[in-house]
Amino acid sequence: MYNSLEKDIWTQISSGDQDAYARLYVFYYKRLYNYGRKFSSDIIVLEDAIQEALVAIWTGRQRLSQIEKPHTWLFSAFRYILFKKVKQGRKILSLTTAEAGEPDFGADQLLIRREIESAVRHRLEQALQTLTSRQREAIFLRFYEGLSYEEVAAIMGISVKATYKIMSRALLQLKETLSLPILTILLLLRGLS
Amino acid sequence: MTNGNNSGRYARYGVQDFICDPFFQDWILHPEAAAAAWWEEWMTSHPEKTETISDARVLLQSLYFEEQLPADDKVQQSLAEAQEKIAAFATTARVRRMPRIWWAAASIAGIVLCAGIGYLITSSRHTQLSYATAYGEMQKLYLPDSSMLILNAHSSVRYSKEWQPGQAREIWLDGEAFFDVRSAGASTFQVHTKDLTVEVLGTAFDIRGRRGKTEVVLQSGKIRVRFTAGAHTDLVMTPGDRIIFDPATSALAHTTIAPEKYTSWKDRRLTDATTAEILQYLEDNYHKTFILEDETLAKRKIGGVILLDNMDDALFALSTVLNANLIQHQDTIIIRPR
Repeated sequence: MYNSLEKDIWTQISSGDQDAYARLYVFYYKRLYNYGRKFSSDIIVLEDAIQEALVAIWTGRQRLSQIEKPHTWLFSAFRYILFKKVKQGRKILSLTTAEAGEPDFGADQLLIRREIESAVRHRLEQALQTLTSRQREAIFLRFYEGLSYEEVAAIMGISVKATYKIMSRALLQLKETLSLPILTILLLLRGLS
Repeated sequence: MTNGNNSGRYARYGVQDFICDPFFQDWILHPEAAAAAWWEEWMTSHPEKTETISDARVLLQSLYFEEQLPADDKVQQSLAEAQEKIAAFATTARVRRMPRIWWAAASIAGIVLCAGIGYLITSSRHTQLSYATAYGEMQKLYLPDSSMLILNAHSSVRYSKEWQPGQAREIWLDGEAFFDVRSAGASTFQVHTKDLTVEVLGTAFDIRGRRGKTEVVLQSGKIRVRFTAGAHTDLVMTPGDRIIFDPATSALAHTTIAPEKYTSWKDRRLTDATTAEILQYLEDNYHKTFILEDETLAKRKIGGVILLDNMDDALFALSTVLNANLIQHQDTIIIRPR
């Protein structure tokens, strides 16, 4: 998926290493693109938001050492910048009335693997449609980006408790659509035992 | 992170509890980590939980996200721009930069206009400019306001040589073009085609008028579409929206699409199209006629990218994917399954 960065890359950048910065730029560009793309198909806005967030790393590199989790900070900053631009864009280009609220995490971005038997898959997909934008985003940050509950909470700007609630509700909703006999069929299909 | 003290708790867990448990989730996310050994051992000593744990694991693993990544050259381009900006910060700039309106600025840099066999006509009476492309030709044009358009093959545009500030910027299109429109205060930008007019303030979109139908796909910004002779009520589109208008039936289809896939023709490639869509595209832009002997192939989706730089390579790729022979006679190609 993504090649990895050396652990001390942030320290290298705060001491002014431009090559390290270039490596970090390329690494995070793709990840932020993948994340931000879930909220908007507007590529121009997305690319501008990514660039702004990444440039901010360099211009604020003196303060990097004070940030405990720069990885989480970057996601959080990017999210803020992207949301701001999307809302600005709506307002300026408003030909009808502006839509309120935060951008939606696309409903069709969270999917069920094809290997799952189709009747079950169909029901799971229907269940996915009922999830809220926040639930989808939380699941993405946790299960795709592999972030901890604390990190997900920090990025989404909510409490850790709220994150647990959002995640549990979503997962339980999915679980509700399945019944055990069907799961046994799933196991057989996947060759697990 | 120790699971030791949870051992007793887990013994009472059902599927719903496991899937919501962060340590369990961590194990699914990082099956190779140290915790895996702990779970293996725990399962051995709690065999009655094997099925529950498998159910929970299957559920979590059944979820996945579509991965949407930018092209490598896009990333490098952005990096180069960022490095320029950083260098500019370093030296105090005397001249104040023009504020960029991020959502509307054209970000394509350094692409050379391809020399084509299209032609430019100047009509002295109204100082209108026309540009037309031949089959197989693509042309990038800059308009009087610095907006950019990429004209696809077998298409033409017409517009005034000069645009007055404060007045609507108008352009007439026949065929297909991709537009990247600069924002210019309150002055709207209008693209007129036979069946509809697209009105924008600053945005990027594609209009495709082929085979009697007109399609519009919006990539960035917001546009209003007005239909000629009131054939349909006006509609406003947001990024990712796609409309297909058929004047014969006045039917309007309104769906969504990943805009980058629809407009990938600008980079001379087709992405994730069905066989029918690819053949139609080649017919409309390269003056070929295809005869598909097995109609069932039409709906088959060709996952991934078909490069259009070289027509022979593209046709070869198609024949391989469809497992068919292509019999060419001048511009007619018969596709016969092997």
